[in-house]
Amino acid sequence: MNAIKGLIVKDFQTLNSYKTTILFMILIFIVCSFLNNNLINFLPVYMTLCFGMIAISSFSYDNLAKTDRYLLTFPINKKDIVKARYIYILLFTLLGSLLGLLISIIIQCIKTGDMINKEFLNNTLAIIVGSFSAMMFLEAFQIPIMYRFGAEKGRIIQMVMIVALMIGISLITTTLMKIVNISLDSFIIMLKDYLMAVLGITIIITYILSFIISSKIYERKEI
Amino acid sequence: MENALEVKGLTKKYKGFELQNVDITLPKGMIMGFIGKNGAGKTTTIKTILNITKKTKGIVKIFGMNLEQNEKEIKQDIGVILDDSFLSEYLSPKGINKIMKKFYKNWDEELYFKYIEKFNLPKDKISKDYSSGMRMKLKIATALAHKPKLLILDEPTSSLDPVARNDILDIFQEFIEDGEHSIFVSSHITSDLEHIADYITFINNGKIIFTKSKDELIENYGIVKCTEEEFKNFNKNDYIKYRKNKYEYDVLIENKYEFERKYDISIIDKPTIEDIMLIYIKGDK
Repeated sequence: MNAIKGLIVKDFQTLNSYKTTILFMILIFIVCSFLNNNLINFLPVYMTLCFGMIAISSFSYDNLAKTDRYLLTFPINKKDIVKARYIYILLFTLLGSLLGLLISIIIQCIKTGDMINKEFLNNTLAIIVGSFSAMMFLEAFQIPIMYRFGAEKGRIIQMVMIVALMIGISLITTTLMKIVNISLDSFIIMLKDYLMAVLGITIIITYILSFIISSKIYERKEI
Repeated sequence: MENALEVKGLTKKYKGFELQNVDITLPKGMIMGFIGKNGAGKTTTIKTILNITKKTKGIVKIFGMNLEQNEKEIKQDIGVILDDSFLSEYLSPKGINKIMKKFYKNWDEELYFKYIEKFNLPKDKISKDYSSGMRMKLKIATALAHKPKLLILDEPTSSLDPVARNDILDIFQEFIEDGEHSIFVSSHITSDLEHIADYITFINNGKIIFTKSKDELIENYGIVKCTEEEFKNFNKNDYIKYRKNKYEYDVLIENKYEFERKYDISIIDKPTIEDIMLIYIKGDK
């Protein structure tokens, strides 16, 4: 367990020199949200997206210093490295979402003077859950690509994969809806009651599958 | 004598390169220099010994234990420097300390910062701003701070100036003084190894050519400087390899005392490790 902690600390420490850049980015989001009322809803989305992307960039830092080779001289194994990377990406994305939520609430309080606006809170929570889930889903596809093709090639391949994935999902969904003969609206209504559960289970399964695939790829990889 | 490192029949097959049946035995308390030209297989051997890359076959034992079965336990007691790989350049010595203490039970913060101070490395500065020599010193401090019993080093002195190299060699010498610690070090700066190594292992094209004690190499080996006429009198079995120069022949021999007894030769030079390596690689038989 200490090894996993060490690997996660490594990724957080590596970002330390980017502290100012990240803080500056957050500051810009805050200023924009103050200037434009509509942007406050997007702040958690931006934050989740940016933090998710920063988390994925840990592959590039390791690639640059060929850190993986060095890490394998430590008392750890390849599975620890993959596990820690998944936990770090999850934690860092979650940190972005939570910071987004916190900042949104503070800005809303300052702007309206209303400490607990239930409707705003519900909306923001829904936005956060949505953006966090989308980012997690995206990461579950990105990480194995990074392990398979490396940080440089992986970036191009992942873009192609994401477009292909989106086309694939929309094709499958529309075909399925045609087969069972329901409209998109009724499909959403049908899903609404179970949305959180379906979303949660789908993401957990995707993330676990992604971890298994990444572990297998990394185990076979010549470092 | 107990061995710190024992490698038997280590083989690794790549497309276009093969590490073939490598045998290495490093007794405890000794320094073994691992020499060979670039691309001879030094880094591959080290990577395969450490299980960074999967071996095709062979056995690696460290501190008498099989590495495959006791990898985590063994690696607690090994310090490693790799030529081309380390932690991110965006980390400072302070950041590295926070990371490393999570991995090693024996990580000694005080000792680590003592080395950092000794090497004049700024604690808070990220290593991206360091010179290559400073970065190497940071690698060395990091490799030593968990008090390993065995150091495995890949080209640790290549980026250092002569003064820094000398300091580092002194640290390595101190490290083995108590007879409990050992070092396996690859280097193409063979003069460094002449200072510190007890044994020399020479690899060429993925095959171990020899492992000899350094003293035996320096004291018994010789380079005969002779004319073509003299060379023609030599029996092929009495020399290892020769090089034809513009005016004379350089002939590498394994035992200069026997050779002197057998042939009437006046000039037999004491070879450096570099001379031996060069004639082995470039010479003919």
